[in-house]
Amino acid sequence: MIRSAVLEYGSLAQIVLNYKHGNIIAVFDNSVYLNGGDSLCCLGVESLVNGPVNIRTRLSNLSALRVGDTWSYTNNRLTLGQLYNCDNTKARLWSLPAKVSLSRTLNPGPAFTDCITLIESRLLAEGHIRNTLPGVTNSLTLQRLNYYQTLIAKSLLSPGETEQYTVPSELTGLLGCGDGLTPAGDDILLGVLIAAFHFDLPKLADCLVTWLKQHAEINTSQISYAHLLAACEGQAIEHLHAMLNLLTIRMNRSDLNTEGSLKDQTEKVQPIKSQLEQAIGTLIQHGHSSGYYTLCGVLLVLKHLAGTTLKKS
Amino acid sequence: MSANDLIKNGPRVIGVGLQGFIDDLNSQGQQAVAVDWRPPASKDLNVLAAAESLSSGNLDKMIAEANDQAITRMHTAEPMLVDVQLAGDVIEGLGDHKILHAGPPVEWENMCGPMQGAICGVIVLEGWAKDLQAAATLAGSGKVEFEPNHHHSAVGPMTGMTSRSMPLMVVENKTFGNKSYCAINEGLGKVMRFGGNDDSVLDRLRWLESTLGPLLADTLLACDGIGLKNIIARGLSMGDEMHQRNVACTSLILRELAPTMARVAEPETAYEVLKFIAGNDQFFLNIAMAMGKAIMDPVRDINGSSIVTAMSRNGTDFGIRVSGCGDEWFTAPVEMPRGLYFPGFSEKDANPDMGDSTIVETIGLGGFAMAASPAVAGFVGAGGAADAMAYTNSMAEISYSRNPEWTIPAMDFAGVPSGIDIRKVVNSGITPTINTGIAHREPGIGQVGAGVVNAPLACFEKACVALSERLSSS
Amino acid sequence: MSTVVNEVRKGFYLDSVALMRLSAEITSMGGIEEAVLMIGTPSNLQIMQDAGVLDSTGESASPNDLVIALRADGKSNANRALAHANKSLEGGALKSSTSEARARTLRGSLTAYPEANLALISTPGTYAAREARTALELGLNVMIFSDNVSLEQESSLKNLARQNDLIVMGPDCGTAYIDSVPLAFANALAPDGGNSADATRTAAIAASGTGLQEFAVLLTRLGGKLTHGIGVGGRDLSDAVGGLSTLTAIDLLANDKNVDQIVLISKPPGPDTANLVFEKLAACGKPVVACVFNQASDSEVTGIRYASDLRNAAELASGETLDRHDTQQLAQELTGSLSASRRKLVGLYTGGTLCTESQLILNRAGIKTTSNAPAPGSSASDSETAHRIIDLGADEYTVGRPHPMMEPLVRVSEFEQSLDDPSIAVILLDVVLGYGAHENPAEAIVNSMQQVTDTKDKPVVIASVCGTEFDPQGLHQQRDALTASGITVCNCNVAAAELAAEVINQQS
Repeated sequence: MIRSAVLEYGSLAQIVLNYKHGNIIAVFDNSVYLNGGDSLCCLGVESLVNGPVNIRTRLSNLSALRVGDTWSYTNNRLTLGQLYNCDNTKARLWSLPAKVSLSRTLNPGPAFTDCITLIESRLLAEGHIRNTLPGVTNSLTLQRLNYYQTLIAKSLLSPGETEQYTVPSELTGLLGCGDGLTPAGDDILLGVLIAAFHFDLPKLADCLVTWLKQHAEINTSQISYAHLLAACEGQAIEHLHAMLNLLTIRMNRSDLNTEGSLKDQTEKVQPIKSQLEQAIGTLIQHGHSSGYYTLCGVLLVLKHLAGTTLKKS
Repeated sequence: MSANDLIKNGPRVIGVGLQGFIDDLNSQGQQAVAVDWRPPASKDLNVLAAAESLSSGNLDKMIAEANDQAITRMHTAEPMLVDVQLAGDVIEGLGDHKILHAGPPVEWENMCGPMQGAICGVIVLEGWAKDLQAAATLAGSGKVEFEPNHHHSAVGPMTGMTSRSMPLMVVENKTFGNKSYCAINEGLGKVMRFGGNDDSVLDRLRWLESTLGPLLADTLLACDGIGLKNIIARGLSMGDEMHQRNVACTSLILRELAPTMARVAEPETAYEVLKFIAGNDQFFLNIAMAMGKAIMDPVRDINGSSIVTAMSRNGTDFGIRVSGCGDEWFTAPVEMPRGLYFPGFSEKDANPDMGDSTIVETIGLGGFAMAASPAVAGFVGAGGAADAMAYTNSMAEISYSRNPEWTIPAMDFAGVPSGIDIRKVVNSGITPTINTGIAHREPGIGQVGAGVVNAPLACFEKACVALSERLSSS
Repeated sequence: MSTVVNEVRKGFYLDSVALMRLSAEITSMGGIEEAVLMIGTPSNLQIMQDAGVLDSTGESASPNDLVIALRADGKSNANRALAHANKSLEGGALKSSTSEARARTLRGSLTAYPEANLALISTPGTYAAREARTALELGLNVMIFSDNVSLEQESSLKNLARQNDLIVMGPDCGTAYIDSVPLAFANALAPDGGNSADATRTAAIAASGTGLQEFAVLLTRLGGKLTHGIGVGGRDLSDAVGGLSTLTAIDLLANDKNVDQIVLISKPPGPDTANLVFEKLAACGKPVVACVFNQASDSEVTGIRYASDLRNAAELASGETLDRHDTQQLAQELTGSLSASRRKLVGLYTGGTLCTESQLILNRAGIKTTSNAPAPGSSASDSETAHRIIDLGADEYTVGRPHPMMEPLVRVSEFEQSLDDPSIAVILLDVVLGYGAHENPAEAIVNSMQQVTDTKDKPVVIASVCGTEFDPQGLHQQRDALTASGITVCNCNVAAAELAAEVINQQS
């Protein structure tokens, strides 16, 4: 039996542990998914990103576990199959990084444009790498993802004067769309939702949460559903929250626009900008395409925000 | 854990047998583990009874004390590489027409091909016959005496040839004052330890004798010897297990040797010698072997101890010696290694397992330290990192202790398993795993692969019975 | 001609990188026009449909399944690609290792689990004593599930345990509860050991497996709470062993604050041992109930309450009474359709103690029985004319085949023969649930019953189910299935045997 320690766990993962036992439903080299009650959590190696459904441990490799192995949790000890034992006594509950709010007093115009351009160029560059798989199915999937993104922008994110957001019924086609553990469609929706929480768009968030709780369970895998449920609580992986915070910091410094003096450019804008670029890069690298599509979702909200804010000012 | 503890704290179960009972407990959230139980490998009831009697009651207590002493001697050893000397000068009685070989005793008729080939090569090298054919005739005539290296504080890899004019590295165990010897590693390719015996092989041996040996000796004398324990400790953390992988330790020893050598040697000679060592990843193996012998010799003959003091094979038989049974050999036919072959070779080319290099496993390295060296696990066809870990864990199950100074980073710095206990081998049916090179069955071709081989259980069974008889009669 | 082949792997997850790699790999194989590995969400199925790679197999996928969809220029290329995909998914190519790191020895496991305090040994009997000795030497208590441990070995192990303040449960200990945790063949109790916190906390010492199971089931059904059930093995109370484990158990339970009363379940002990054990029990300072089958009343010890059977033991221990049906009236209903020529009774038992108990109940009702495992008062001769109670768990039935509690099919041939036998009036059955038992023991019985659904003249079948609602099989599901198939299900083995006796008495 290999022994180890739990380092950090998310609040939803904690709920799963409270079921005391369950099964391992998926095994990867560096992580496994555990079920407990109706929920799931993801347990992984130290380098696993913190998140609401994640448990980070000091274990180094989990591929010896088998799907169907049982896990149990008693006396702060988490036992995985016959192989691993994790002590939970010194573990920390992961909490969301403190949120940086968007300043309402500054004119955000140029900074917004700057950020949107930055994200768009990164997505463009990465898209070439990610979307080169051959085949009809692949191109059909891409077409559909693009179609739904346009739909989100034109319909969901165009609430009109009343600010009543409604989810078009057609959007269920985006749930579970694409391959992988968390299908690309789900990632986009997650990005939209977390960005809505982050940029204080409660009406948008509320209507998405209600809609997701109605439709997501039957339209996507239970693993992806677990991540979406966490997003309904406003929580996602640390990389996403970190990126959103840096994005906000950048936008709040709209006094520093790209046309400023050379001195301002080098001393004030660049440090924030390079940190932000780094955070975007980290997010994009998450999973195979999860981070990429999450960022697509964030971008949709950012453009919506730019539109409304700029209109007002 | 008294019965009271059971009642008070509830059952914390280890299951031996049906897995289902443990699954049931796990499914209720109870912690319980299952032993991966198998029926004992020994079918002989006398053997099982002997192993059981040695594992229980007063005998167990007595053996534990003896083993504690054995382990203390192992762990307090201070092996140092101190010198290089000619075999004839340091090994008593090693004169003309006498050759030391690997493994337990074996007669010419029973030697495998590579061993006979190497013997012939040595006879030519020593000038006792003018060519290989004459050498074979001489060897078969009974006029050449053969003895195991182990009987003379020496060890040798594969065929393990040791004769009068060969330079031997000298390792001294400073704690107990004993010395051990091992020939210098000839490098890879066609070499005598794999039965090679043509001119190129013999020329290289002559160069070792005339050039490398003396210079190494001068260097070691000038730097007052080199402590080996620390090199091993660092080598383990750099991915060596000291049997199939010695690249880190070879580099470390080179680092110790080079500065002094630059001072004591002609530049051109130093260049040649350093280049030879640098080009030979396995150079350190022979040093590790001499060290192993130096560590284990003081452990021989502790009354009652069930610790293995030597494991060795001569290509025909596998033999072990056990501390509590003095210098008696317990032998069984050697097994074929399982592993990976170099391109163009296959199992049908392989010679049965051979060499004194298993002394490395006897001190807890090689197959016992597989977890330190996942690369070797792959090289010998034993699987990936997790498999390497499993090898070391299962060797811990048959070892009496762990070595606190030689630790494996990947296992949270657990020490390598130390001190093979024959009782645990017989009781569990787990036999020592040995990392080994595979020699071609024909003399003169050399290494054709690498793999793992298990020590035959029968050696340990015989040793258990013998130890039990000794202890019950005393 | 293009061929589309789909395969669905249920509940299969693979990380995206591996999936991409694999689908790219397969697409590049010769003759493959399109290869997709996607999870079967509705929207993905739609995409695959549009791409022309979906067939009816793939359509059935759910969002948690992996769909492998291929379109190839012929069947053989498609199959080759599918085989490659499957092989990779099995782990060879995508997983780094398949090795498990479980220890091979008790000693090795103890290093990994130093808090362990009990070894549960279920190896073949030949090796059990050896493992038990090792466990004791390592300071572990021992439960030996295995049988075929010799009397000498049992005695020496138990002496060794006593010297070291340890306890040996067994050999042939099928059931135990420690701190309300069921071990080996045992029924699941309510999460806190059963019922309310203020219930009397009972601990049992039992020589047998199903005896302890039936007692635990009935006790908790009556609102009692079982803290421990210590199995000591069938021979512990013989004079050869001298009750070593029973004596240890009495000491333990007498000193345990969580135990209010002690129940002993056993066959009659050896005479010397009886004195020792009952005196110790009477003096243990806690109320004691003894259920000793066929105990002669003149040998009863004052201060101990004696129970006539397991139901009675559970009632005495809980202070409650189990529901009784009107046996006479129920028997009348059952015999109503029975032809007069049907006179005989057959009992087909999977639980040894339940088999013994039934014989005693029938003997008490004046019915002479024969058995392969005769209780006192029954005879061993297996005459065809007599009422037979068969222990299907006895050695002669289990050599080379599984125990009937694990594999109910073992009982089927005897059961179906009896159903067809025109001289048989009553078939008496036990159905044992719980951990270790078969996942659906009622099924085999119900299937046999269905074959005689349309037969008018057939024996009455009476059964009892030894189980709780917390058992993996579920008490009421099993009971309902049996009832629905026309079996009269009683609430305990005693009630079933009493009803069977009444039926026989009314027929004769």
